[in-house]
Amino acid sequence: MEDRPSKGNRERLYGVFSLSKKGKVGTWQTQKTITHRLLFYAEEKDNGIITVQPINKNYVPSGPKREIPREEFLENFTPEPEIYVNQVYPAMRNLTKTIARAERHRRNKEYYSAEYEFKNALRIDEENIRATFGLGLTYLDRGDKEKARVVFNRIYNLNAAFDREHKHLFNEFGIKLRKNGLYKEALKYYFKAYRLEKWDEHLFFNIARACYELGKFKAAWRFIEKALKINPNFKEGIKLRKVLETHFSKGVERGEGYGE
Amino acid sequence: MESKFFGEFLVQKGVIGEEDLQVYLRHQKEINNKIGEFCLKRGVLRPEEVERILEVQKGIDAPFGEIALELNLLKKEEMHDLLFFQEIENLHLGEVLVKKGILSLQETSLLLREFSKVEKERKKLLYQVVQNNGNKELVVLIEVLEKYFLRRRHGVLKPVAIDIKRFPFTAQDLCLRLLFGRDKGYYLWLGTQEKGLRAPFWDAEDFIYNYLRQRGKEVGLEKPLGEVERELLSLRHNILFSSSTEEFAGIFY
Repeated sequence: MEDRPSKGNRERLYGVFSLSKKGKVGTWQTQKTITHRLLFYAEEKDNGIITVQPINKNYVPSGPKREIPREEFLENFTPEPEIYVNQVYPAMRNLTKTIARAERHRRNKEYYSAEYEFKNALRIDEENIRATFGLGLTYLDRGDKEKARVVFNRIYNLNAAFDREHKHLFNEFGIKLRKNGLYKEALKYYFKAYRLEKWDEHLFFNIARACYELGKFKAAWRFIEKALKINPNFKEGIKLRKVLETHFSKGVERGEGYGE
Repeated sequence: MESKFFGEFLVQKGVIGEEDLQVYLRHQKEINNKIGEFCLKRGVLRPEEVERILEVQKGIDAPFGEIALELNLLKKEEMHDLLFFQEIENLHLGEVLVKKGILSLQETSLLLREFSKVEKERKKLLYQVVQNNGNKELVVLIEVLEKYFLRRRHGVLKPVAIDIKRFPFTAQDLCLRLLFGRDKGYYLWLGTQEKGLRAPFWDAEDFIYNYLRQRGKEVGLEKPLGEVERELLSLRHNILFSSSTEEFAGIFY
């Protein structure tokens, strides 16, 4: 349907497409075949593969994406330019603006307004990763652990394909959880971030610190070593290693809190 | 420290009228879903399954989700998602007021921040009251009443501590204050912001009695709760069947 200019001569395809599926309803003599029309938002990547994402009842792309080769895509999907222009594009724009407002409120420490806007965004797209993280972080900013836990459990269940770009969200969420004393939960998030990015001294440091708070000194040592291997001059890392060395030398099982 | 709920706080501040509050609360109740209703709406449980869970819940003290898990009617991930979606879809009073155009988002946000401070103060005072003299009976009693209202009446009950200078409380003392505390120098009361919310005693009796016993054992109360229970139950009979009813309703407002 619409072609978006790209760096080369090739133009990438994007927009709303439909896929017709036939199904049967009823039984025996009353049985009949009906055709369902499913809507997807499609976007072509530089390698010619098309990613398609279902469009939800609020006309925004939502949920897991899947990849389809260009030829197969063109064979099965039908362009729906009117739906894109009149419904999907305005809805996507509205969602983006809502999230931007929510994030602005959060930056300005207006946590109740941020919560309101993040929830509005999630009412439009309940699978939205940015809004889900944003809401969780807002609750943690406000010190509302119970509500943060609800969001925490949800993120853990999200089927979305997390990319490296989401690493910082997991890391930030982990840091906030740790600062709220939710060390176990924090560790889970750091490890999610770890799966997306294996070489980051700050992430290793954060893991080490959460392990330390949980009294898992050996694990803490392992991760601080990893952090210092990447960056031997990492000040915070050196400090934590010293604290750990003291513990090991004293044979202490669990030490005093490692202050903020 | 008499503000307990955001709605009351708004009335006290003159932001909305008492009658308006009741209208908005009713509206909120109409549009929001309880967890069982929510399961039906999203098609994760059948009506008979919800009924079964609610039936089991009458006999034990456990949240809906936990019972659903126990009965293998829901998976853990499904329960987590449901709780999240419920949190997203249900509207708080502040959101209702913004959506109805009564307050702007900024006004609501500022009022909520102010209310949050009041709430923190309430919790601080309550914590002091409860901590004083290590009064376990009081802790258990507050917990029991809160749970009762949440589970059976689907209402939130908040204990409010006022003027704690002349503490100590005992559980029985508390019961008396629940009823007659107004003429004393200090008292602790419980309230919901929904008018006319009363506990039918036959329903409350089992729940409170069983829960008191169970929690009493768990927290290791030094003295048996029998006396406390008897006192509480007899008071509740009085509350519900004597002329004290109005007083009771006045407390639970």
